Formats: sequence, structure tokens, C-alpha cells
Amino acid sequence: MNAIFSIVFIISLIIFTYFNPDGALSAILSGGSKGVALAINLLAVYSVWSGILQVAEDAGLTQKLSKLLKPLVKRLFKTNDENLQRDISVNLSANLLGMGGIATPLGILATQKLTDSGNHDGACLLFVLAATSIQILPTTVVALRQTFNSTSPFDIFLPSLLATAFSTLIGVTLCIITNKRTSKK
Amino acid sequence: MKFLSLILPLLLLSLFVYATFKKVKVYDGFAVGASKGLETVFSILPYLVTVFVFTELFTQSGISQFIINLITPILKLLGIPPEIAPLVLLKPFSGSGSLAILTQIFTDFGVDSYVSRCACAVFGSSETIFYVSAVYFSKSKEKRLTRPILISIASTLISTVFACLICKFI
Repeated sequence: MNAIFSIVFIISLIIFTYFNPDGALSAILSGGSKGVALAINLLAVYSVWSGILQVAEDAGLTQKLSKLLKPLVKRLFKTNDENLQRDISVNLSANLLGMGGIATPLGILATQKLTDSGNHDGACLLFVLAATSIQILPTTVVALRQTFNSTSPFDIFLPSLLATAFSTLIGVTLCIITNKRTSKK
Repeated sequence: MKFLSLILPLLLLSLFVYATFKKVKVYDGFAVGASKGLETVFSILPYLVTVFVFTELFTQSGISQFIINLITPILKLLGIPPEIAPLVLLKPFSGSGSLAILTQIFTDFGVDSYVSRCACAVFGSSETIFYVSAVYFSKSKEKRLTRPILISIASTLISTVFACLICKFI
């Protein structure tokens, strides 16, 4: 990751210096302000969703969900930590429903616990599941199609679902294959 | 398909009814959770800024356009319409940027065209990989990102080919 960053930074700055020296600073700053703008937006999203999640946790609902998914989570992530299993279960369910506001804060926590305990295979799998996440409701796309007066805004639903299920399947398979290779060494 | 929009409100409704029945202190609990949410945002803020600076440099310097020109013939070979090449390349970097490209494709080719439907399937089936990786690993001391990012990009690419294939039939 550090290498990709260095390469892009150096090459783009060379291009800027050569073609458009005034554009360099404005590009960097506009990136920074976009990041901050998103963070302000996320302040609202994450605090609301974390509030809702806390209520679900106090009511014991997340524990129930965790119990339901425990066999799967335990096998895939190879962990016996109850709290970690719960975080992962809730993260996966929220991603499935397209509730990124719940999924992401828990994903960060779970990734931290996984990497700190040396379980890099687990962290890798959790990230791949999020990055290829099965989204049941492609809400953004459907809404956009509607504003463009599509004759059938929902007919993208099935191709989208199939494609995303396929990408998740490949991602998990690749994770498991590479896991075995690293453990053999 | 109207019922789809009912899922979220119904889920929330049942949660709060259930919590009240279980005598949970809803007000206090919500506030505790909200403060955890704030902490999360502050811890990921530096990574957000970094990834966005990276994305801006990547697109505004023209590197992305160069790569788009480079990969277009390859995409053609794989059965992906070359018109959606910018979307395929930018989706891993930027959510808002790729949404703008999707809108442009709708305007240029018509929302119900084959190209637009492919673009939708591609948009819906992939994530902003670099952003998600920066955020997910933001609190981890040891960041081993290479393998997860390579796997995600590979599966996204394969599913893109698959998505364009399905759109021909469905």
C-alpha cells in the first residue's frame, strides 16, 4: 500500500510540475477537503447508527444474532473470542442489508482485534467480504434510474445481485486458497 | 418492489418496540452509542484525508485517463463494453466520482441501453476498495493490505466480466 501511494504521488507530481504546476496544490487540497467533508457527513451517520446499535445490544439482540451465525463465523474466522464473533456477525448482517453505518465501525473494531491477535487471515477475509459485499438492495442505482425515467428501474436488481454474489464467492475462495499457502510455509 | 423500502423502517420499529419491552434504557443507550460513533469518525479522519488526496492526484494528474486508454482494448477482449472503462477503473477509488460517471453514461447512452445496464451491474457489485481498506485497517497496528486488496480487485474484475455477460441475457 505504501508503495502504491509513493508511486502515484511521485508520478502525479512529476506530471503536475511539467504540465500544470499551479494545479498540484489545488488537487492535494481538494482531496483533503473532500476527506473532511465526508468525515463531517459520517459524524452524523455513524453516531446515529452506533446509537441504534447500542440499543440493539442492550436489548440482547446482537447476542442472539451472533449465536445464530456462530457456527459459520467460528469456522471461517477461526476465533473463539465471543465478543469478536459478535462484532463480526453484526458486521456481516449489516453489510448484507446495506447498512454501512453499522457495519463499518464494527468492521474497524473487529479488524483491529483480528490483526492484534495475529489473525491476518481473518482480517483479510473480513475486508474481502466487505469490499465485495453482497448488497441485497441496490438502492442508489435504482433511485438514479428512476430520475432518468427508466422504463423498468428495478430490472437491474437480478443482474446486480448475481454479479455481487459471484464476486463475494470468488473473493472468499481466493482468501481460503491463499490462507492454505501461507500456513504451509 | 415497493415493499423493499419498508424493510428498514420496519426493522427499526421492531427494534425499538422490543427494546422497550425488555426495559432497556433507550435514551441512555442511544447516547452512549452515539459517542462511540463520534470516536470512530475521529480515528478514521486521517485515513479519509489521505485516501482522498491520493484519489485526487490520481484523477487530476491524468494518470487515470492514461490507464483507461491502456486498459480499454483489454476490456473489449473480455466482453466488457469499452464505454464503461472509466467506471471500472474509478470505482475502487471513489464512490462519488464513479456515481458521476454512471450519471454521465446514463445521459450519453440512455438509461435502458445495454451499456447503462452493464454500468449499473458493475456499480452495484463493487465497492470503493481503497477507501474501505483504509477505513477497516485504520486502528490496526500492523496493516497487511496487499493480499486483501489484490484479492478484492481480482474478484471485482472477474465479476465485472460476469456482470456484462448476464446483462446480455437478463
